[in-house]
Amino acid sequence: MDNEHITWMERTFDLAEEALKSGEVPVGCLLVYDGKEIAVGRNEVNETKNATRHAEIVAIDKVLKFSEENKLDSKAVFRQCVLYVTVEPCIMCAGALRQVEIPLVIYGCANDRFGGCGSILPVHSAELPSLGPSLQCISNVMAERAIQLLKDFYKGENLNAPENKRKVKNT
Amino acid sequence: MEDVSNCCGNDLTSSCSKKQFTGEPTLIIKQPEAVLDEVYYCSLELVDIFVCTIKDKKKTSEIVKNICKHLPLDKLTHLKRVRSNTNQADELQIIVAMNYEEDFLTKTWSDLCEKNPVYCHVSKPFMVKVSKLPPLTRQQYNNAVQYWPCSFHEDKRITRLLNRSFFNAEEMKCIHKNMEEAISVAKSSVYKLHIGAVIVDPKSDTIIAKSCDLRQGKHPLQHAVMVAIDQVATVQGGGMWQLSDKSSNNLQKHSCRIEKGDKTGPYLCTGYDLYVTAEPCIMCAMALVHSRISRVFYGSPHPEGALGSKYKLHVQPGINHHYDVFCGVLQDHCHKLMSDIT
Repeated sequence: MDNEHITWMERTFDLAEEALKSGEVPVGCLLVYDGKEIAVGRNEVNETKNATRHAEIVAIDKVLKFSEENKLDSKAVFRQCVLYVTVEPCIMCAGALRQVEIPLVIYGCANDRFGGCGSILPVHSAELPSLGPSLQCISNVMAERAIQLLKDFYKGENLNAPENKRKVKNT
Repeated sequence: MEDVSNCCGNDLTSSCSKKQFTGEPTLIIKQPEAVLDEVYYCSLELVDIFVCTIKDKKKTSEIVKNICKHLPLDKLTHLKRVRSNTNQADELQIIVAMNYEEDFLTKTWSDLCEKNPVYCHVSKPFMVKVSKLPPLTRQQYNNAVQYWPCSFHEDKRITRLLNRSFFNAEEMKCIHKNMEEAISVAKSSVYKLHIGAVIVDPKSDTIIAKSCDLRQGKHPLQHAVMVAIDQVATVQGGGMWQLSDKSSNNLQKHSCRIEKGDKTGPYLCTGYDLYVTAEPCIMCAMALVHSRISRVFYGSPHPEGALGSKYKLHVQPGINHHYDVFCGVLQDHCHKLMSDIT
C-alpha cells in the first residue's frame, strides 16, 4: 500500500475519532490538493440536526470556502483533489462527489448499510452523465481500524475507558 | 371544489360537471401515480412442474396425504396442491414435484411407486407450466390462475395505489396546493434552472421549509431538496447553510413555528412530505432517506432520477428507511418549468 495514502489516512482517523467523542457516527474525511490538506470534515449530523451533514459534505463546504478565500476556481480545485474517508461514501455522498467532480476517493471499510460505491448501489460508476464524471475508488485502506471505530460506536463503548476494560466483541 | 379547477389544467381528465345527489358539480381529478417496487408490475413468469392425474377419485385424500408426505414442496407454496382439470371438470390433478431433478421419473418416482400401492391410483407424471412467483396484485393473480390455481392475499393498500384511488378529494386539494407552492418557489429563482421544493407537515397542513434550486449559484450541492432539508434543520435549531442568496431571502419567514405541546419535538423530516417539481437525483433521494421523509410527491420525471426513472431508491432493499413516492403531480406545469430554460 502506498505510504502516502497511509499517512493521509492516519490523519483522517483523527477526525473520525473526534466524531466518536462528540457522539457522532465516527467517519472522518480529508481532501488533499496540490500535495496539501485543504479541507477536513467529520460527521456532524446530530449537532446540526441535519442528516445530510456527513463528513464528505462538510468537507466539500470547506473546499468551497478555501477556494473563495484563495481566489481559486472551486471547480478546478475539486478536479485535482484526492478525497480520503474512513468509510465508503454513502449513496448520497457518492452522488455529491460526482457532482463536484472529485476524481479519486480512497476509503477504509465498506458501508454495508448505505454504501454508494458498490456496497448497496454503484453510484460511483453508474451511467449518470448529468450527475458528473464517474468516480475512481481505492478501497480497503486501513479497513480494520475503520470497522473497529464503527463497532465501538454502535455498541456504545466508552473509548476513554482503559483498553483492558473495554468490551471487545468479534463478529 | 371550484377552486381546484384553477390549478389543474390538463390534470383534469374532464371538467364536465357530473351531478351527484347533492346537486353539486364534481370534478374528476387524475390522482398522482404511485411509484411502487418493480415486483408489483412484473409480468407472469412461468416454470415447469410435474403433475399427475388422480385416476381413482375415492382415493384422493389418501393420495394427497401420501404425496404431500413423500414429496413436500418447499418452494411454490402459493400453488394449490390439487386442481380440477380445466378441460374435464371431474378430473383432479395433483402437483408431485418441481422440475429440478433430472432423474425424477426414473428414480424418485419409480421408487415411490414400487413401495407404495397408493401410487397405482395416479397417472404417470407429466409437465405443466405454472406461475413461478406468488401473485401480489389482482392483475398478476388473474394471469397466474390461467395456469394453475393459487392463493392470493390482496393488499388493499397496493390495490388502491395501483388503481389511483388512494387520495380523497380533500387530500387531492392539498396535494395540488402544495405543488403549486413548489412551482411558485421554483419560478422565484434568479437562476436558469427552475426547480422548487416544499416540505410540509401533513398533520397540520403547514409548510415547514421551501426553497428553489441554488446549484447554479455558489454551491453545486444546493439542490432545492438539499436546501429545504437544511431549512428543516434550521427550524429545529440546527442547520448549516447561511443562505445569503437573493433566491432565499424570503425563506426564513416561511419556515414555520414548531408545533407547540410536542414534548419530544420533531426529529429530522419524520412525518413530513416533500413536494418537488422535478424528480430528485440520487444524492437528494438518499438525503431524504437519511432525513426520514414520509412521502415524496414530484411533478416531472428526469431520465437520471432516483425515484422511478433510473433508480427506485425509496424501495431499494438493504436500506433502513423507505418512503412512499408519487409522481406526475401537476406534471405539465412542472415540465414547463424545465423546458422554459433557454
